[in-house]
Order: sequence, then structure tokens, then C-alpha cells
Amino acid sequence: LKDQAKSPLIVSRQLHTIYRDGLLGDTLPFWINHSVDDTFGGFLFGLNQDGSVIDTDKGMWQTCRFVWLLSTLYMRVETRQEWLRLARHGVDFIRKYGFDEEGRLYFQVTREGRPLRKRRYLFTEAFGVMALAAFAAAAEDERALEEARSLFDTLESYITGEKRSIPKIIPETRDVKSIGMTMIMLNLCQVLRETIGHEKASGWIEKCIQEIQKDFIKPDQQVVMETVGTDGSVIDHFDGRLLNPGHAIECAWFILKEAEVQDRDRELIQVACEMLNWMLERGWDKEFGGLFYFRDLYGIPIQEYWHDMKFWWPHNEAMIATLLAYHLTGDQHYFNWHQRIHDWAYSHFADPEYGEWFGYLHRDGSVSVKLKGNMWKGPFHLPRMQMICADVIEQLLHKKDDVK
Amino acid sequence: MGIFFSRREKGTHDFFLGGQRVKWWAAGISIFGTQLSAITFMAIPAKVYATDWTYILAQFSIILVAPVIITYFLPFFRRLNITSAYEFLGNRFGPHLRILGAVVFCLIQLGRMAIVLYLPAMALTAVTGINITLCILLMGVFCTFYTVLGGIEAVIWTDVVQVFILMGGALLCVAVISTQIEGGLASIFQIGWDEGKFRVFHWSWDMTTAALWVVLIGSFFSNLVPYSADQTVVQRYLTTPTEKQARRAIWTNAALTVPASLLFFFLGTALYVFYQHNPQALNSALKTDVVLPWFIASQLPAGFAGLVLAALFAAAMSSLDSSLNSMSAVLVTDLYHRIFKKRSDNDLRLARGLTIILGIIGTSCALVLAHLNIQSLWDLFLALTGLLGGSLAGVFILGIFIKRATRTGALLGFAISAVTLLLVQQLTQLHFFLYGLIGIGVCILIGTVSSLIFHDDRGSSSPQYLDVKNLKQN
Repeated sequence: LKDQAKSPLIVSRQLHTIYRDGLLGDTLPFWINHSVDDTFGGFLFGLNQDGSVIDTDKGMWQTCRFVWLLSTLYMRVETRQEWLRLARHGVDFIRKYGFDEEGRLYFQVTREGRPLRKRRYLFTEAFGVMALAAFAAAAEDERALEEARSLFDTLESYITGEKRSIPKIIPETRDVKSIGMTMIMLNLCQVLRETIGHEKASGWIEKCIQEIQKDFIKPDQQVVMETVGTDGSVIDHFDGRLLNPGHAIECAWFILKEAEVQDRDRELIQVACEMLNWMLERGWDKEFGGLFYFRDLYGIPIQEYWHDMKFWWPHNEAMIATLLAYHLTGDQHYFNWHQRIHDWAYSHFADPEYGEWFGYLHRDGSVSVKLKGNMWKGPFHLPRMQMICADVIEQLLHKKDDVK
Repeated sequence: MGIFFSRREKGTHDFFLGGQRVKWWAAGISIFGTQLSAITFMAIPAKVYATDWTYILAQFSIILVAPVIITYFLPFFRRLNITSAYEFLGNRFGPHLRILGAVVFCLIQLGRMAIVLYLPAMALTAVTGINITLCILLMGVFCTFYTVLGGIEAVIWTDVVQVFILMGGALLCVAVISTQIEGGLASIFQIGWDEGKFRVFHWSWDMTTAALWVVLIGSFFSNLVPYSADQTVVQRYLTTPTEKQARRAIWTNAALTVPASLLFFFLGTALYVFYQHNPQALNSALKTDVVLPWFIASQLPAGFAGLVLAALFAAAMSSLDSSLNSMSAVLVTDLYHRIFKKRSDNDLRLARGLTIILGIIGTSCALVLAHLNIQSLWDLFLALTGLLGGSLAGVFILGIFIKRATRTGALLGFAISAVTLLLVQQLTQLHFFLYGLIGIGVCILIGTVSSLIFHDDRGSSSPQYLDVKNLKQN
């Protein structure tokens, strides 16, 4: 790592400008200018490179995430009425067209709001709770508070097994679980704690971290697993060996965040930093740079043939994780990693012509598809990274100033 | 029309003031046409489409502004026998402020010329696919041509025709929509009402939103700016034979603004209802901003579509021609006469020459905008010069209402007001409707206070307060 000579203090000031100005002057305007549907409500996220609409179906993941982002910005960055108005615009659409008769959320609806697709997984519901809780806090909206609590209850009843959705794999033959649901529950409860202060949040946070430590982290192999048996055993099949470094790194920063809230809990910091170190080591492409999408536990071929593409979001998550790790440990090692990922990501994903980021690159860093938004990519990972990193750097700079 | 009026042009008095032969109703319609650019023709229905009727009150505030202008501003402009509004500043505060006013005006108009050509051309290109360069060149060249030949009379009378085309176009769109929606007009009202599209009042004390008081107070002052300090409007007051006729012209504009606003706002709601019922007719690749031209191009029968798109051209040209003629007026009377201290028979040629040059500059800037990626830079330029407009209006009010205001006071008031506006715009989230209020308010406050501190030399030759009562009415 070459940049060790540069003082983190000087670099941090530059980084702060890049993140804050990028968020307010590029990422947000891109989505605000192009995605709002004035005719049928909600947002159009199927956007081309220049922001023109290439698909009018509406993804509820992204709708919920945008509401969460706008509400959170309103609470944490500035009380801009425009943000609150757009958040309400999104909530109106979710209320009108999002829910099915069981109180769950659709995954995808048409432009006019007619339902197209529902998924087994409960991710949409989790994003829905985040959106409604953040909006309830930002707008002081009692109805949204009730809706958030009730959707959380629905979600919880599925997670505890009280209600069942059709499993992906027949559990009588092979009983598996993925880190995804545990992670999102962890992050969701962190959001609930800071927005509407749900009484069950802390309990769930503790439970999720324990489960991740017990079942998904394998210290002997220095790895964070993506899918394991319900008892935490390694499943020696394509799906079981499949590692998702970006996901594991995102999980690491959820835990770092928790460590910070719990008075910089040293054990949690250590756990998360190990997760981060292992998965950076496994995920980083030493030949072309950037993070691989999938890796195999044993380094043998992977079933998913897009495994070596570079997706935008693992880079966003890794930038948050490394910066938080530096903030909590003061170890230059993490700052250097942050710089390295930052430089690679900004020189390959950023689109200087129309703004925002490309989402999908080939292994060598060349752009694979030029679109800016689809069912999976929307105003979330990039702006969340910019918001959190700008925040962390502000704290870093204050700390340094205090020492002087 | 340009050729017809060109025979009457004997000197700058004809070229800039139409020999004060212009009928009051034509002058009034022309003020309206100048203020309403193609951008407003597209933007108002699009804004109403996306939101509601909140801004209707801002349009109506002209009714409150008109009497203020007629009672306090008009007598000065008329009785001083001037061609340019900034001559008043010269009489009141001396040459520095006159030149300052003239330069600020020209900067604003330069930015505006390019944008009133570029934006409608871009919209037309988006919905019809016609070549944007051709579009800009057509409007620019044609408009310069008749303005050069016929001067302000050609400008005013083409404005009159253009306003009729424009209103006819909007009416036609509403008519077509009401035949397409089951239940017609009543149904549009009903659906719009049910969906809260007619909402006018937003109760809030927040200064960053379009709350009721922001719209009411803000729009009064925002509207005061063009009617007091903008040569393209003020020049109209001077083209009628008498002050009384000028008063009628101002009322004509106000009286026209009310039904026209209702029409454009209703068109926005009607478009919303139409696309709610015909989602397949919506082009998802286009933004709401161009919903009106898209409707025109895709829904109207070919002949009508051509007519209404012509209305869009008309709206653009009725703003551009005024910029050309008024800038030329300001350059000749405020700068050329001041600096070279002479008037001659060649003034008309000079005025025409300047109009051609300005036409070329405006058209070229629009072409540059269309082909280079500099729109954000241009927006910044427009925003900055727009701020200066508010401060300039403050100087006019100082000159008219504050007897003790001095040159130094006015200069300081202008400067500090401009800086304050810049800071407000950069650092706060205040709604832009309040910029006029702040610009004028700060200028009056600072101008008055500093006039009391810095007394100018009050020699017999130095400019001083002009009392309207001492000026002869003509």
C-alpha cells in the first residue's frame, strides 16, 4: 500500500468533501430528478445511464429504501422539506399499492401499482419497516409508526417460525439458513432503535450477533459463510461453499456500528475486524483490483458464472466497513484499505458524464451494463455509503482536533 | 409586420417607443406576452401536473402589484420623458447607478435570451425529433429579423398575435382532453378534486416550502421586481400616448393574467387526469417537464399540433424580441449616449445594428448551450444575475420612496443586498419566492441607514429627490 506517507487528516478532509458533495450534489439530484413518477406516484427506478426511464415496473425494495434514505437525511443531515415531501410521496405509494391481503409487501408492481411479483424472502418487508419507521420519526407521523410496528410484527412472526413461507430448499432433505435474514434483522433493529425506539430492538440485535458468531463465522478457516446448515455446519455443495465477500463485509460494519453504540465494545470490534480482514483478503482481486462478487470456500469453481464481476455495492459496503474500523481502532491498515477501495471504486464505477455510479463491471473494471437503476440497484448503497462515511470522517476530524 | 412598421421608423423615438403611438390594450397584451415565455407555457402546466394549484396565488398577486406600480412608479417613468428605466436612476442618483442598472439589466437579458430559445427548442426536439440547431436558428433569425426592421411596434404587435395563438393553443388542448375523458370537463374537475390536485392553501410557518404566506408575500415582491426595474416591461409603459393609457395597459396585463393563469393551471390538471386514464399514452422516457409538448405532439391532430407547437415558438419569440429591443434601447440611451455624449441621426442605424449583433449573440449562446454540456454553468449565471435583479428593484424603490436616499446609500444598499441574497441562496433553504422580499428589503434598509450616514454633496447640479408633484403629466 503506497499511500502510507499521506496523513489521514489531510486525506480525510478531501474525502469528506467527496462524500458530502457527492451525496448532495450528484447522487441525490440524479434520483430526485429522474425517478419521481408524477402521474401514478412512487418512483421509477429502471433508469438508463442518463437517467431516462427504460423500465416502468416499480421495485418495492428500492421504493422502501429511498423513503428510508430521504427520511434519514432529513433527520441527520438537513431538514429539507423537499426530502420529506418525496419521502411522503413514496410512503403514499407503499400504502396504496404495496401490501397484499396477508399484510406482506409485494416485491414488484406495475407503474400503476398493480401487483406483479411476491417473494418468499422477507427482505421487502424488512426494508418496508425501515422506511415506515424512519418516515414516522422524520415526519412525526403516528400512522406510519403504527404501520411500522405492525409490519415488524408480521416479519417477526415469520422469523420466529410462527408463520411459514415456502422454503427455497426442502428442509426435510437439507435444512439450511443464510446469513442474509440475520443481517437484515440486525440492521433493521439498529434502525428501529434510532428512529422509533422499538422495545424489542436490543434483544434482536444481541440475538443476531450471537447467531452470526456461532454459526456463520469460522475462525479456523478464517471465513464468514453465506449459507450453512441450521446447526452452523458447512454444507459441501455449490451453494454451501459459495462466499459473498461484500455481504460479509457489510455484516462486519453492522457489528462495528453496534460496537460503537455499546461504548466501543472491544470484543465486538475484534470480531468485526477479523470478519473484515478475512473477507477483504478473500474478496480482493489482486490482479485487476476491486472486489469479486462470489468466491468459493475452497477456491474450486463456482456455479454462478457472474462470480468474477465487480458490483458496485460490495465496494460501498467495504468503504463503510474499513472507515469505521479505522475510526474504532485507529489502525492505519484500515485507512489504507479504505483509500485503496475508494480509489478503485471512484475510478471505475463513477460516471462523470451523467453522475451516479454504474453498477456492473467486468472483472477488468470495464463497464458491463451502463444502466443506473433496476430492481436491485437504486438510491441506497451509494448514498448510504456517502452519508455514513461523511459522518464518520466528521467524527474523526473532531477527535483529531481535540487531541491537538 | 416587421416590414410594415419598418416604414414608420424615423429615429430611436420610433424604434424604442413606437413614437408613443401604441394602443394601450396592445401595450398591455405585450407586457403579458413578454413576461410569459415558452418556459412558463410549458412549466406551469407541468408543475400543476406534478403538484397542485399552490402557485395560482402567485399569479394573482399582479392584481396587488398593479396599483402600486401605477400610483408610485409610473408617474416617474412617464413624466421624466425617458426611454430607459435606468435614466430614472441617472436623474435620481447620478450616472454611476444608471450605468450599474443598465449593465445588470443587460447581463440578465443575455442569460435569458439563450435560455428562452434553448429550453423550448430542446422540448420540441425531445417530443418531435426535429433538429435542435434548426429549431434555434429558425426562431433566432426570424425574431431578430422583424425586431430589426420594425422596432418596438413590430415587437408589440407580434406579441399581441403571439399571445392570441398561445391562449388559443392552451384552450384547444383543454378542449381535446375534455372530449377524450368520459364526462368531459365536469369529470376532470371531479377527479382533480378527489386527488387533491386543486389544493391552493398550504398552512405552515416553514420558510422553505411554498406555504401560503410565503406564496402571498413572496410573490408580491417577486412580481414587483420586473414591473419596476425591468426595461422589457417598463419600456411598454412609455410607448402609449398618455400616462392614463399606460395605466390602462398595466391593468390590461393584470386582467389578462388572471384568466390566462386559470387556463394554464387547469390545463395542468386536465393533463394529469388525461394520463391517469391513458397510461399507455405516456412516454416514460420523457420527464414531466415536457408533458405539454408531448401531449401536443402525440395527441392533437396533425394540423392542430402544428398550430400549438407554433404557439410554443410564439411564446419564445415574444420574450426574445423584447429582450433584443430593450437591450438595444439600454445600450444606446444609457451607455452610448452617456459615454460618447452625442445624439445623431445615425442612432437608428446604431440601434438596428446593435439589435442584429444581440440577435446573433443570443442565438449563438443558445446553440452553444445545445451542443456543449454547460447547462449547469448557465443556470448558475442565471441564478446570480437573477439575484441582482431583486437588488436593483430595491434601488428603484429607494429612489422613489426614500426622500433622503443618496447615491452612496443606494450603491451600498445595492451591494449589500446582492451579497446577502447570494449568501441566502448558497447557505439557506429559504424558498426562492422570498428572494425578492429579501433583496428589496435589505436594499431599502441598508440604503436608508447609509444615506443618513454618508451625505452626498448636494450642489445644484447634483441629482436629488424628484417630487412627482413637480413633474408635468403628459
